[in-house]
Amino acid sequence: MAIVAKPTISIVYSFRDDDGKSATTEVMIQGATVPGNAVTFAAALAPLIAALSDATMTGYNIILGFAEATGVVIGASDIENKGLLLLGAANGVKSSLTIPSVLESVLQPNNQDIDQTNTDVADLLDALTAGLGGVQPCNISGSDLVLVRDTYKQNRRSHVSGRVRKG
Amino acid sequence: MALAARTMLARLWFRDNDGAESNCDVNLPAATDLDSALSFLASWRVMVATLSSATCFEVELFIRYVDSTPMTPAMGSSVLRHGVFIFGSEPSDMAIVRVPSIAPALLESSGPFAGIAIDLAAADVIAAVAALASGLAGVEPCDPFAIDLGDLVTAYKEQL
Repeated sequence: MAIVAKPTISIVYSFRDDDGKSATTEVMIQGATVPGNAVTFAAALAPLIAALSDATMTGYNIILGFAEATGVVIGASDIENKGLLLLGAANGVKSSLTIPSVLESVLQPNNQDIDQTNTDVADLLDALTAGLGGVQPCNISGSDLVLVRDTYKQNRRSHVSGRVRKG
Repeated sequence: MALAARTMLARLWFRDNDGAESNCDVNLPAATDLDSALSFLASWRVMVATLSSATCFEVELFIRYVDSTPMTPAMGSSVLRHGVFIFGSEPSDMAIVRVPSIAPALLESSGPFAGIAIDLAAADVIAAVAALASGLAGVEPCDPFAIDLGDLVTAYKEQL
């Protein structure tokens, strides 16, 4: 598998009007742009775009994307079978993460609980709670993930979204 | 407007052999430097993919900023009223930037296109169009095919 930068970086500015409705505008820049320059550009463009609108700019995302360069053959799999990792953050808030199409081979004999002694599972849980390459994952409010509460397989129904089934 | 960094989001996209897609998200601290975040993303992808029988076909890093002050959108603002800015001279190179709730003050106030055409002589319009057409801070906007936007062709209000 070879993963390469997408041709463009998307910068998506979000707005909200006085009815509470939201909308976005998207500006793209070259995918080869240095990420730091993309951040500087997005910050500089924000007030210029906001000045054109009488709605409020509520924020923006800079999306750096990378994709498979070539088609890949996908083996038997089902994204509805999630590996559910229940986590806890340092601020006491619960958090979770799902792994689509979790491998049957990392489940315990009951075919439901994820085997936390499996080397690959243990490495991943360690990365979540102790960090990876100096980066410590956190919850959305920025509190470090510090403990694993439970891990098991859960089936979650997907739905058709556009022309693709997602879940 | 006071936009502050919030947690980054590392997203992995998976596809199964039925073509169904699903994602795996994890947040990273807002203060993470970008090189470290991208390095994390590369390592994280391998770790998660090892535990899945689906294929990780795309990864994304969302660098997010939010307004940290109370929001007071102007009375009469409507995101259904767009400002449409069309760039590029060749039909194959044309690209559109839409701005939600274009400020009525930026529309032409007289003439046959009053209330429809965007006033290209307005200072705010000149500044934004220059940034989009010619770049800003050394970065030039482009269309989805990575072609630079080029010059503005026309700009008008679109009511959805």
